[in-house]
Amino acid sequence: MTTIIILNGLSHAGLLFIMASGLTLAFGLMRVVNLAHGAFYLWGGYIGISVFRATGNWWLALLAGGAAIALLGFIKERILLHWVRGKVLSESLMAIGLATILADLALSIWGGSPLSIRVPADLNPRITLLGITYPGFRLLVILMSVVIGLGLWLLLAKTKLGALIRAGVDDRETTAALGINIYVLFTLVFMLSAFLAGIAGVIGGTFLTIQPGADFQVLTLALVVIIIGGMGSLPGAAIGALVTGLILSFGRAYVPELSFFLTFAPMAIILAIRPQGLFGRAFG
Amino acid sequence: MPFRTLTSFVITTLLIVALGFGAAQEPIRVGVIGPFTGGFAAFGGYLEEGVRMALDELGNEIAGRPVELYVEDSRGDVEEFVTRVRALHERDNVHVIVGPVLGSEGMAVVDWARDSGVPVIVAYSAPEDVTMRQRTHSVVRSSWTGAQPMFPFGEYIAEELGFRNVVVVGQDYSFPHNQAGGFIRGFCAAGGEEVQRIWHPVGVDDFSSILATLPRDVDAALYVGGGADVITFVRQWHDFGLDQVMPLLGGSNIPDTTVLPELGDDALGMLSAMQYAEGLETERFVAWREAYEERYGRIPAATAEHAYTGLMMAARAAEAVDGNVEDRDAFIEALRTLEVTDAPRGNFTLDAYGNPVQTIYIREVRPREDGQLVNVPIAAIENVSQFGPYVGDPEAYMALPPDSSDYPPGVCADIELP
Amino acid sequence: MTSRALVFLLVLAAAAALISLPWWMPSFYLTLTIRILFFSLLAMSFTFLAGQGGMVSLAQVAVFGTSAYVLAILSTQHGVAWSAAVPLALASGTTLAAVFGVFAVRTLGIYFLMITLALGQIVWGVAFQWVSMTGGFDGIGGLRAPTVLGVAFRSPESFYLLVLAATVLTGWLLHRIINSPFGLALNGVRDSPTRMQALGYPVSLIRYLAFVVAGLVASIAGVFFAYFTGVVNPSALDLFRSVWVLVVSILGGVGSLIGAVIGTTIVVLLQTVVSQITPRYMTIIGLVFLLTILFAPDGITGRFHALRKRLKRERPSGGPTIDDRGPVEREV
Repeated sequence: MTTIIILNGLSHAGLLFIMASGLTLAFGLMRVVNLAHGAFYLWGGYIGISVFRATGNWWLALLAGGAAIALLGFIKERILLHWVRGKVLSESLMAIGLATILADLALSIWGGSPLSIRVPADLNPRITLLGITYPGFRLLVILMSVVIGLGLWLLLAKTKLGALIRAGVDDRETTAALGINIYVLFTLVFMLSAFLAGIAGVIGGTFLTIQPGADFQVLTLALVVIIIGGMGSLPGAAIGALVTGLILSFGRAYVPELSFFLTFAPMAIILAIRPQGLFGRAFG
Repeated sequence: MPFRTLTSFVITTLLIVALGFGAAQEPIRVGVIGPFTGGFAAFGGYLEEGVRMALDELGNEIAGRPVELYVEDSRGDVEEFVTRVRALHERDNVHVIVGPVLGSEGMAVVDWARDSGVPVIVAYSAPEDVTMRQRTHSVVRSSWTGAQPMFPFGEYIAEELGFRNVVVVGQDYSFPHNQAGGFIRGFCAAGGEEVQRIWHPVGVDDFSSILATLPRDVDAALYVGGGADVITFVRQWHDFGLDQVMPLLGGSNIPDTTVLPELGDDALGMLSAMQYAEGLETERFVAWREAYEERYGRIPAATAEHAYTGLMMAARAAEAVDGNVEDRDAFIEALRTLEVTDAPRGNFTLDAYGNPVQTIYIREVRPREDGQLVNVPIAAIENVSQFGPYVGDPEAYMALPPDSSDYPPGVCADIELP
Repeated sequence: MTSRALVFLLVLAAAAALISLPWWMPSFYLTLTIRILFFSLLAMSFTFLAGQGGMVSLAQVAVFGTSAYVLAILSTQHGVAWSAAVPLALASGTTLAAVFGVFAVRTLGIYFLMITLALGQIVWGVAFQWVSMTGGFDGIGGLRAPTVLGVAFRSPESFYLLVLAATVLTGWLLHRIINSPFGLALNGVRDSPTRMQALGYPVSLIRYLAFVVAGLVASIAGVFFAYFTGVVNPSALDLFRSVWVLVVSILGGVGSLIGAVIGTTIVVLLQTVVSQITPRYMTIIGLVFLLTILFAPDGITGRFHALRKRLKRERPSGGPTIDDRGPVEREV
């Protein structure tokens, strides 16, 4: 029983981490909290579901969801964000406007009923361990989130692009002064962030469901994760996702009426004692 | 308020003069209200499709008068609903409303109709008090109450399958409570012994803890609720291997047309009960279903049929008063005493409280020829009332507390049935 | 005629028109006006915080909804009379704001926005999940406006006059607060917290008090909302409504309180008209909002001020935008 709750918590944490890592990555460099990240998740999920229904290939659906949203991210960054660059609140409010439009358009395309991908059996073996039957796809989600986390860490720590991003995070002006086109960097990072939201949508559309409203539900949890972990911090997103995922899972098992409330408790505690989050830096 | 009367008088006069029509051509105005956007938009879609199909069949004319349709979106938000329903009455001056599909909307519309007196035909919204404890003369249904199909379902499960102990899992709000309540009463009346209930908040995406602690020494489980939770629950039921342990029975909208494609093979063979079954093979229903699929490219859901029937009820009642829907009392009287013969699902009449006394189908999920899953009726129980076993004494039923998370009691020995 | 006298006459005519509304306006538009008024109150609580204090709060709807819920629960489940239920509802909403304020005012700008969004979602989650208290998904129904001293507020005409009086009075009080020493200090905190700190102002306390005042205003709106709707369910305080309040306030312009009224009026009318033409009306409202952010970030009232200044040959300026209201980074 407890094993199942923990495994559930971990698979949820995996999904939240993929969402939150995208948010936190874009924030670290650009100081933009993309409040349309949830709408990106929604669209990624719907596109993934459509591609899966057309082809029956889950991995293709995953890639298609990610790629389509990366493109959407490109458009948003190049056209909309470019317009209000540097005005932090306008950037966020614009994202809210975009999210409203995307949600309404999604409704007109995919309708109001919940949709979901039925996982192909080879991706979802029933794994029986110590007398407990557990769906294999959830273990795959945990694995994927770990791989993505490691991949992002390697990208930031070991590649030239990563070095440039880190330089941009630390000192935007100097990096720009060194002749590096910081705006190209912005676009690339924002697309990566959108890509992560897109694949999170496909994963969420597989082990959960996608329906109107799913966008802001998952966005809220992802925000809680980065508030706990600290904005702009990848390890912070990991810890925040773990804490949130496990509390969600245990809360649902033992106090279902208050599970949502409990999920926010660590956020309140963190805000009270360390407002910048566990791994956050104080900006300004 | 004389000035306001004067204003509307002037406007009306101008309109009549401008149009150059006498009162005979004055259209019958029909309001349609439901959620067309937001989380429940799927219901709104079927609602509008059903109404429009009926109108087309009528040639957009009722009792020689043209029909004007006014469609309002409640967004699934009660406040929006209250405002929009007032707009239908106060601005559009509709003669009749076909509408609410959500439970909260049903309760709000009764409250409003009590003051305004506008005739309302409730197309899907299932709280029993709309036509019971809170009933008002101008509100009738073309649909159902939450408990209605579950009375015979409980009897069927106890009698035909011989089950004695069942565990109910469901969303914690009035509609699933009412479904469970109906099931318990029917089940107990037919020899059942005990029904345990486990409730969860709406919007849980993880049932593993409920599934892990589910009692295993029962004959079956019954899931009651609706929406996205259904998909998650049924999927996890299979993922966690419970399909190997006991059968899963469905509440009325568990194997719903809107979610069946998402449930897929996991739903095969699932039993449930409702006043509607899209796999019904009567001549009348097949013709209607084929026309609907031809027109909208999808299998009609219960909401579509109830909306279609609701509009037909309005039309027949209007014909009964020779199109004089302005005579509200006569129109409502005609509505309440109607013998409904236009319903694709089968004929019915309304009881003294305005709810259909109708056939309930016990249904099984099967694939049809084109591979799509449908609910096929395997038994039909005729003349089921919203009061179930209390049909002889409705007042006694209404004197009981409304069904809740723990009422009626789950141990059959503790229930007194008539 | 002097321009002063003209203004006075205009105000008098507007007042006469507003008060006489129930006697000549068709009832549906009266209903719409009632809605516009109490949502204006809600938008004012947002505008006051965002415009004067630089705090863009997505938690106002949670406060509003809490007040509505408490009123509905007390009145229908416990038979509490309006004379006790209304003050208790206002107190609960304001208390919630006081608690949230403790967490929220420690942060600025985008952090404040995120945190209030999360706090607001907690309340929504509780309303949705705490079934035994809130009725969960169904909510609490059967609430009716009371009859006080022989006046039945159930009738739209008297209810309208009450909401009108409350809105005007609240607006006037907020206006007084804005122009009081406290309001000026709040502006100072918005523009330069560090300098205000250095000058010896209790910066956090000022922000906190503003948050509580805005909470009271949102709670008043919640009481009217509950009586108007008769049913309070989780959709009263969902994120859609938060975003809606944000949209109407930004559209109207947060620079002045009247912007809240103008924005609310425009969006309510737009929604009523456009939703009859196309079911995609939210896309249209989203686009209008997006265009506002891109081309008129200071909203309609801001544009109007800019235009007036230009006509008077003053130095042209775009007026303050939402981003000029408050430093970007968080103080820690």
